[in-house]
Amino acid sequence: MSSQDFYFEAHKLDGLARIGKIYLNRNSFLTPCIAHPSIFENLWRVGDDSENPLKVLIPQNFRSSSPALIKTEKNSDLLYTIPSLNFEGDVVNLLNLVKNLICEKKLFDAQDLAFPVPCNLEPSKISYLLKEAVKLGLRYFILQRVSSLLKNPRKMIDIIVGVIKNICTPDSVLHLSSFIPPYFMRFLSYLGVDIFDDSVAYIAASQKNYLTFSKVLDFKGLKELPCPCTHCENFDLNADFKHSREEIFEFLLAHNLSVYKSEIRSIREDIRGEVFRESVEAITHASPSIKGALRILDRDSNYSSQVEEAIPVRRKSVFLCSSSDSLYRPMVKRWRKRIIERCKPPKHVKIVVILPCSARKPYSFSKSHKFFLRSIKGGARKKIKMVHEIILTSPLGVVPRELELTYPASKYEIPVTGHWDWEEKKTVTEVMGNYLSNFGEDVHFLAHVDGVYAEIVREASDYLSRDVEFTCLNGESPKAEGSLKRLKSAVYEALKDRNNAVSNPNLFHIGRGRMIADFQFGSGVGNILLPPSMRIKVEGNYPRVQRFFINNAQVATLVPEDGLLALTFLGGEKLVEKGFYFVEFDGNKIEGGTLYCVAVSEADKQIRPQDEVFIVNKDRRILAVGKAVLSGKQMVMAKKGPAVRIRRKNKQDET
Amino acid sequence: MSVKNFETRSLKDPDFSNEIKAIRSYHLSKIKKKEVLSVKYWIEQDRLLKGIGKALTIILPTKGCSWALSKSGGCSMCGYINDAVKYGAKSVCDSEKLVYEFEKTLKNNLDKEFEALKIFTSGSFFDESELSKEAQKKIFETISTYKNVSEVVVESRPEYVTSEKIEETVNILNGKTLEVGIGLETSNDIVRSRCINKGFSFQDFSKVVHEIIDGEARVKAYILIKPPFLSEKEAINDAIKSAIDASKVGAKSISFNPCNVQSGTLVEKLWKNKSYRPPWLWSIIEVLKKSFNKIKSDVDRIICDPVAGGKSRGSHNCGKCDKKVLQAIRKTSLNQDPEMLGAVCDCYEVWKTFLEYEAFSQDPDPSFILSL
Repeated sequence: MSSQDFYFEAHKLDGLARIGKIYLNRNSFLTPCIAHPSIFENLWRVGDDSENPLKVLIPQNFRSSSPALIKTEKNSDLLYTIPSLNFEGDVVNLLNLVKNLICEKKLFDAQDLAFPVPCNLEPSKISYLLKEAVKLGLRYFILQRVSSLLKNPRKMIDIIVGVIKNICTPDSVLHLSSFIPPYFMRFLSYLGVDIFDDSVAYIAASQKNYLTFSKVLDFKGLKELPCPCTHCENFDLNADFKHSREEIFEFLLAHNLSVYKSEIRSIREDIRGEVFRESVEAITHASPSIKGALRILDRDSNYSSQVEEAIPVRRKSVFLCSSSDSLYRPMVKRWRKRIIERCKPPKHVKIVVILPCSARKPYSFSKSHKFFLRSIKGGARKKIKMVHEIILTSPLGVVPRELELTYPASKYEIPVTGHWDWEEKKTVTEVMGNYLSNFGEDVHFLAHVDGVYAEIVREASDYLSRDVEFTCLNGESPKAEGSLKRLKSAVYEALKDRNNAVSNPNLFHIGRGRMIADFQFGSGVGNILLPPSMRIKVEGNYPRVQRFFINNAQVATLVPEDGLLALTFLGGEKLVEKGFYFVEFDGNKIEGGTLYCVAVSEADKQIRPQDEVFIVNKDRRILAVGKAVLSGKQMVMAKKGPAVRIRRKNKQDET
Repeated sequence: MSVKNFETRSLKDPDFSNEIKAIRSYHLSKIKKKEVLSVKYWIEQDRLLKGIGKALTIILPTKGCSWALSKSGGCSMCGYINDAVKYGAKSVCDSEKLVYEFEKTLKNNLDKEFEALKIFTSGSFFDESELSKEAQKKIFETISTYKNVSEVVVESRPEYVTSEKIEETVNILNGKTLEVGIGLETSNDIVRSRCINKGFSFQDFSKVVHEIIDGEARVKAYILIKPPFLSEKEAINDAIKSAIDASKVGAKSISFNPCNVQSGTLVEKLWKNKSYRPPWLWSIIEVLKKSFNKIKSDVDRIICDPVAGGKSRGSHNCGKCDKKVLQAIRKTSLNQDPEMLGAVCDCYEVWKTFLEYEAFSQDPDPSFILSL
């Protein structure tokens, strides 16, 4: 089997989870998928019910088998498996055996071999073992005895994320062989496992266990069959006594296998539909250890930053924040971090108006915000550009008006009942405090909020030792006529004595473009793309597509679907000059619509999946623009798979 | 001292030895020594050569097994050295004292009924560094004066057994049957050396068996059920094959020892790490059934008394049927009747399925899912 015959590519990422593709000779199939144990052949048939499955031999034990037993015949759809380890003392001996097989005897290419990883060893030993295996070029890993980690969430995350995902390249496949109940599959997919063994279906059937997506039920106690699969529909539970032991086993097995099959399809569909994180939050209720593991993953900064690197910057789905875990999901934490670190408010701002969020998005199209805007405009009149509006919301914290169209601010949904928990309040207060601390002493803070929002503003104001003027008094809601009047006059009073130095009628639109650029590409990029010293023209009506021109040359487009910028090559040059968001291609002419990892020699570490990136040659000349498939770090690490989907090539370059 | 030099001793696996040694040394350093000589003994019903009868077992607290105390670290599953170190501190276990204690114990039990006498050390009876040549002789001479004892069993590693010693002992015992128990564990040399660290080969064993038989004594072969690093299924096949092989070379008693988790051993470390589970009782039943079927006519007895049976450190099933199944195993041993192995429980099907799928999951114990 030559190395070209089998490989793995990651096609769509959601953090550590991914839709991948296993290529085998001329066939391919998708992951996450099931590996069926074939007890008569002593191998796994990987790839759900694929007619051309990948066959992976089961490992022998390194001690009880003679390593010389490894067969040497070559077979085009079969991976041989290195013997498996039980204890640390054998790590070096095993590695020597593998080195011998690959490098000295040259019996195998590294790609032809599956490598078992005993997950119950000391993390430092697993780490050493894997690093050496990766160096030798191994790309197929069988995770063993993961069941020993399932009751210990800290260990589960330390080993699977901290060690295994950290060391394995993005084009490595993780095949989990341990006995795990079906409801761990989704969470383990979230941790980046690609292939699941379904042996538990057999064991559970023999134990008279009826599996569901979230539970293991005792068949003998069932009054009804919860599942409507054909096996269950055709089984008469009331005539249970008529069935022989074998019939019951066969029925339970068929049903249990269907649970695995259905769950794996649902996992793929949820990753594809960009709602995977939401589905993982939902399954955490199946087991406290999944819940615990998700908490550790989200809140331990080492792990959350490792996950964040591979979280896309945009999704097409609605962003559902239904559980307290949503407060810490990587995309939300990224928002709060970027708001504080990347988004600097415009210099000409003299008033900050703090507003409550609205159910309808974007906010400015909701009924309440239309009222607020009318009052603010009425009070500010021509000085409206000196007003900066920020919206207070959970779990994002603060949404500057300029970013109301940017994902996920434009598409999040939370249960709005007025109940805030302590952590939510604390987090939002911190974000607001940090954001407001960017404003000078001469900026006036106005808060047009009531209830919990007002409490938060008060706390942030204490924290900053800055005064805030409240316009909702006497228990009146922000929408009440009295409040709106007070807002109007407060804005008027605050701006009365200020000189209006700003004349550009497009300034609000330009300011939005700048802030989105800062948020998307980094602090200061807004002023680089749309320099204050230049004449900038904006075409198009918000919230539709808006185009930004400098001296009649277009630099950027605001894409309303996700509130992010698409840049022209002119805009791209400015980014690339700064070393931002470039992917270096080790050639000069790109064929086809995809740049593959194998051709990537360097990339900006800030790149996240779905980011707007520029493909450059060694001289940093732009060859094309597109969307990243992997993170910048991953596209350099991986040898296989797409790195960038190209949107447009630089025609100039072809001459 | 007569210790045979086996060639296979050079076939050592230093990494394996070192690991076992390190675990053992650490554990032994934690043991609180008791400076009292404590001889343990008990009388129980047993399968004797004549049939069901009573046997007195006496454990002499020698310094312990030389193999376990050596650089090799000893065997991966054996923790008997812990008792030796705990109860037989060097200052108190000289041979003369041991002989004295032995005679005292025997006298104290004179009023009780027993026909067989088993004298065990936590090592090898014939190892002169545990018991001096004179002490060994004295003990046999004492036994020879007890008329109602017809059967004497001692244990030893093969390297301490010589034709002369057997001949001499058989002479002293003067008509009483001598049986030497040898821990063969398995007839598979790879498993014995790479999984158990036993330090001798099947050939070494065979040679000694012939010497013992030629000296008109008998051999009891101890077979380990489920050495570490073997799956449940591999372990069953290994035990059956080993019993057949041992009977072929002339062992007339086959004693199956289901592996149990003893302190300070490599097996304990693997067990704690979820890399090892002691055998299911169903596996023992399977091994006994097949062995009775294949070698019953070649041997005098096939026995098994699972240490720590039904406990998590010993051979166990689901917890509900353990007592019942253990009883079936003991009854079968006593009566030598495989018909008595019948026992039923729901977990039998789980075990059967597990045998097929363990090779895939490499999880030694499916109880994690079952307990949910």
